Amino acid sequence: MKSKAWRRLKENRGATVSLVFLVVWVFLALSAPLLPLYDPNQVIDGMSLQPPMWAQGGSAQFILGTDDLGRDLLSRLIFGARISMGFGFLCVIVSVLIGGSLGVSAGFFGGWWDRLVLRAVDILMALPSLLLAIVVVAVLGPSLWNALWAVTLVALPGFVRISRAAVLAEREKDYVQASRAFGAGRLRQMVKVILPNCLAPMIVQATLGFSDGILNMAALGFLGLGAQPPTPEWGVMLSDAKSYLETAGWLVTLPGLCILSVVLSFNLLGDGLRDAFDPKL
Amino acid sequence: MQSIPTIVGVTIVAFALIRFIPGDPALLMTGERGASPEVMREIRHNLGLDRPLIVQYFSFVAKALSGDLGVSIISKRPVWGEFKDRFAATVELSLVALGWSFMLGIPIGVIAAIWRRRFLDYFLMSISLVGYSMPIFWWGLLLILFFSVQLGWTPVSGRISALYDIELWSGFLLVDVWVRGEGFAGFRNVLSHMILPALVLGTIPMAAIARMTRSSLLEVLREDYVRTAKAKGLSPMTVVFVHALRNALIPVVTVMGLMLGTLLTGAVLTETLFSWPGVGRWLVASVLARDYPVLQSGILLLSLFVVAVNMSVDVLYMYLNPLLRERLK
Repeated sequence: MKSKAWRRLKENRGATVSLVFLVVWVFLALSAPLLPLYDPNQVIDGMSLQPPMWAQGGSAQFILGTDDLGRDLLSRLIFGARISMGFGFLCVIVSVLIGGSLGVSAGFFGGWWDRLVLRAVDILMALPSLLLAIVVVAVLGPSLWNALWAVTLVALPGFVRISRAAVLAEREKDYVQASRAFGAGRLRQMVKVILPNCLAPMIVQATLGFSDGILNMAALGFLGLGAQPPTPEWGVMLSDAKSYLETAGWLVTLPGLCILSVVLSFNLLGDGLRDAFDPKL
Repeated sequence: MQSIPTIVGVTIVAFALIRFIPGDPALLMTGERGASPEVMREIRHNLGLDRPLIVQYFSFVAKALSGDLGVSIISKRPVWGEFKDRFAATVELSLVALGWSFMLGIPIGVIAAIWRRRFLDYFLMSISLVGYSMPIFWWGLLLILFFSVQLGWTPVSGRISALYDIELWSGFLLVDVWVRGEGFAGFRNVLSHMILPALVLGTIPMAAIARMTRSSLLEVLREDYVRTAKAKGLSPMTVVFVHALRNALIPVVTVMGLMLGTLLTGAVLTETLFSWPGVGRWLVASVLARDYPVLQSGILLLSLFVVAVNMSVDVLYMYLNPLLRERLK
């Protein structure tokens, strides 16, 4: 089953290219402090708003140019990947753990617990995602970590719903009945028997959750409600670049391209995984 | 009926919001330096903060029901008055955005489904996926850079140029310019302000609709009745447009309800970017200014609106689906 899915994924060109692309990004992000880069927050005197290498007036000293304060853009973008992808990862992990346990237990036990969880999810979903995040930030105050909690809370309902639905679909199947007949306890049934068969939709949701997490973190940063300057975060960098729209276009285009390419890759990978796990569509 | 607990939940969230906030609301209202203890006590008493929580909650709900949503700390004006014009601005923008995204998204989905696994399909679906993944605040900046800064075709911000001083009638400027006799020139002015924000706001919905239409249509095209229609010798066009598409669009219409959340989320970003005087920008500003009455009521009103729209979509869905229509009666 797994190897079949893996083979189908490998045949999907978009998904494989995205996977390679993301691995490169992750590698760059992880090794950023070791790379021969400027400090992302180092202000280099007299070097503000240097254009990228290929543009007129650019030099190889700053491959992607510098920002309004004279900080190296390439370095800020790569260190920005640490933040965007790192916090995207944290957001997915936390929402898989919390959302997954809520959803699996709700689907498995049913009854009042199921109703309670579903009701809470409905309330969370009645608030548009970014507004919900804004509420959380309003309570906790704007910062990178608080933005993470906000974005995670926004991601939770999706994970609860997906895992609950998967458990409901599996719960009454014969192999579960068989394990019960063999005397498996409820916890064992839930965790060891049912859960492994519910992983496929959760993996897909987690992959797509990455792109939502990264987009929402960047959006909060852009609005001034997430990471705060001088943190090299892609959304914050875009927000800073607004005033240089006419004079320094690269400050606008490059961070945005980073966000778009990473989000697009996660979406392509998620689509590919869904097709690989469930080839019906 | 199912949405009643959700509505109650939303009121609790909105109510709890102002209590979770670090710091004393009375202190926030008097400013950082504070006031004499008597004045503080009076403010707390006026706000009802000295009463039990449960009493406070019911008085909050009762006040909200009677239309009293509190007073903005910043502008000192009633929240409802501040809300309604901005809400109209947001709804107008959202409707235009949703309109174009449906008008373009559905044909794109249909074309991709008909030419499945051909170049056109891959091409259109790639574009849709890019649109779907777009950080719209960046997309908006790019459009401003190109159309407003380089070409100078469209204004950068606002709803209408300052030359017009229009008293709102419906709140929708595209309508109000005609009502107030500004005619086509005014209409064009409003439209030129609206075109970029609407384009930005509709991008993700458009991509989602295109993807949804395609997969839904492909599913329907596999149904038995479609095979029957083909076997009867109907032309492929008739099969797709008369028989298949009508059923394929049912899930797409339900997506419209879910799209509303996406739209309002997008509105926060789009409005901030284009200085559009709508609810989204207003709420972000109120977070930054710590204007909690505005935040509390704004969140309450918007979520009630979302719940209401979702309910209507459910009813619409039942109406569109004959199997469920019987139950409605």
